[in-house]
Amino acid sequence: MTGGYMGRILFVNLSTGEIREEVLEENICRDFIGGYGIGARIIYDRQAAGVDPLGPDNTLGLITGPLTGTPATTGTRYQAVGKSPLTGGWGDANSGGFFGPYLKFAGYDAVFFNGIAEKPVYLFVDNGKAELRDASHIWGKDTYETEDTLKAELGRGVEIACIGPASEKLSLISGIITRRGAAAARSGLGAVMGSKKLKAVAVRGNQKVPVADKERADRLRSEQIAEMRTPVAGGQSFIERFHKYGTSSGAHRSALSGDTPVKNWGGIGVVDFPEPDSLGGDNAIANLAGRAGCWRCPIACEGRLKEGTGEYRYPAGTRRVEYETQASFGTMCLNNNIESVNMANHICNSYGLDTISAGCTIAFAIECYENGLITRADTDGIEMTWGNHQAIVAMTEKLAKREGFGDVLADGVKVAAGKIGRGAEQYAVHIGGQELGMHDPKLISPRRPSQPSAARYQADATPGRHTQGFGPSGFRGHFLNAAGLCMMGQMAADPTKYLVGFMSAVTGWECTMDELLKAGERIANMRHVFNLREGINPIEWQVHPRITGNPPQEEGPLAGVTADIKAQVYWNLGALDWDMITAKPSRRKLLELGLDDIARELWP
Amino acid sequence: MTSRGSCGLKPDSHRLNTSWYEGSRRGQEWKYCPMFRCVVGVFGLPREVTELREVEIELEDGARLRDIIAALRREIPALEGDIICAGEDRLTDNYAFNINGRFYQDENELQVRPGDRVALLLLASGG
Repeated sequence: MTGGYMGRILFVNLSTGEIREEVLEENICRDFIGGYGIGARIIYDRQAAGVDPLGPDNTLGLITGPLTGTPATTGTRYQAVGKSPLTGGWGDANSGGFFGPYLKFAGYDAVFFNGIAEKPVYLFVDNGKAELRDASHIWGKDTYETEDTLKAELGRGVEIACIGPASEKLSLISGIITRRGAAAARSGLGAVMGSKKLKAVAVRGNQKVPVADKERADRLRSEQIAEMRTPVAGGQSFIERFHKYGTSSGAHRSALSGDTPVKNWGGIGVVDFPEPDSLGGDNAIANLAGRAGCWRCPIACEGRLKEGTGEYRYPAGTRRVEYETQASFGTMCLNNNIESVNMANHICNSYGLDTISAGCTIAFAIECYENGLITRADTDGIEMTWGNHQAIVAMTEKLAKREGFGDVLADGVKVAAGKIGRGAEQYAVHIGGQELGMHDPKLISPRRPSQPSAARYQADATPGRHTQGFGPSGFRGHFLNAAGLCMMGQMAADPTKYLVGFMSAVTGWECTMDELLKAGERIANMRHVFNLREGINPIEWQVHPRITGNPPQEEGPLAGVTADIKAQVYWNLGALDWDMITAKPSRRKLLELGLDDIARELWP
Repeated sequence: MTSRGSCGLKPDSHRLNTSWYEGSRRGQEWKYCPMFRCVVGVFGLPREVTELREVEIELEDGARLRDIIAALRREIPALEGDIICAGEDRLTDNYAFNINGRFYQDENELQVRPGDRVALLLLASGG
């Protein structure tokens, strides 16, 4: 087997208890790299169309990349994949931490689950051996307790990926959690894990990830870290900036510049939320106890808080909020109380919720309340008004527990709007069922017209995602994600030097950037054809008019701006060689990418 | 709350702040030179740097985007470096003007007209 891969994958049938090991073939690695690339290929091949995402036939995969657990800087990540119960189409989610590297140290590149266990179980992968164990004693526990309990039982050197009570109760906006809040949160894959009665995956091992040219990989790592430590604009280096604040330095600032959405996407920062400073910058790290990082990451952008001592008593060790959470529970709700955002973050992490979707759903509920669609009688007496931080925290807890009105909200805005009725759909901002990432796509750089901002929210296989790309500008990101690297960390990288360099040094393939981009394109097509087979055409996904600016805002930095989403979508469909009506990739394109079997299916 | 800066456009002339006429530099003839005021809204990081919410600039009829940048660079030195390229009438990579709902970064010859809605902003941030 080539470097970077352990060469083995696990298939676990939770209905029968059978655990089967397969060899990971080099051709699939070369074509699909890892992560959601390999995941999309394997699930497409082995799963029928139309399965119930929460039923036994849906396959859930946890997959690393070839650079995960290697000297490649920021090679820390794994991806969860499966059919999404939130969108009904392809689902994936990405997370850093330690779980990805440790899965490889335990001997495997990936583990796939199907079936449903008779009673709650967890999978323990211990240095090349895997077994299912009873999880009745941790079923119902939050993610912190689950991790603590399993680590105490299994001993040192174990890493845990688990679900919380929200996933057990099949919340469609729940995710998979490691290390108290490193979340593979999007696409509702926590609910898939919950539906299988799979509480956790524990991994441990001391196997080395093979590296074809370790000296070269180590040299590249040293050079990249030195670049990251070089001061740039403002005199701060990339590492200094991210180490100090993580991603939390900016939401308050970018709410005023039009990037961060405000008031459930319906507001204007400078008008509706003119004093956001308490949300970000030094305020976000005021209660910081210390900093930490993912496995061997030189940036270490994660922050841990001291115990909350004021109105909000979150426990010591709660994660400092990230940008997306500051925005979803802060600017989106007109809430500038950072301690309440910390508390909401803690609730989401411990119950296992996606903070983007949960915060957006709370903002949606507030707007419904403010407009009289729901009253205190509906909300269990909670006054859901803009900026009411006590209400935001109280309702988040109800959502996490599916308690009272929280049960209405627990599956995100699309389902909640359907339950509420009375025109609530007008306030439900989502695409294909998924709430959007916290960047306003109306902002688009004229210097980068080929990078569609609004269209990527609509047309990626997992709609509403801000970390994915659509069209040729997304190919690099697909490679980077599939390889197991951190998108934030690699913002400081020279892509040709480091992405090509690390892939070549670790795998032993002498790669070119063209090859890696082609792999990214193949991955984009594979995820997309999964959706086509499910009957999903992304062109038909409706985009909320607030997203495109229709009508445009009348004041502020985005005054007058309407995103030309049709132009973005159709330009990129052309560049991808996908049909302008059916979105089917052309036969020629599929053959060019070596997807001959898909070409035969789509063009019989 | 509103801070309001004001800067004349012509680098060498304080007369331009109020005058609708100017002397030809080359001769003694006077020519008609209509002026208009352009208010540039300042958002995000540029607002933090300048501590201004808007800047009022007096422009000659036929003025271009580069004239706005030149005036901003000259009158608000804090913008030079991170936001406006040092020594150049050009925005750095992450900044743009929103003019009537369209973003402009490199179109320095774009003509600005009376009544245009102009904003200076950071194009992206966050995580």
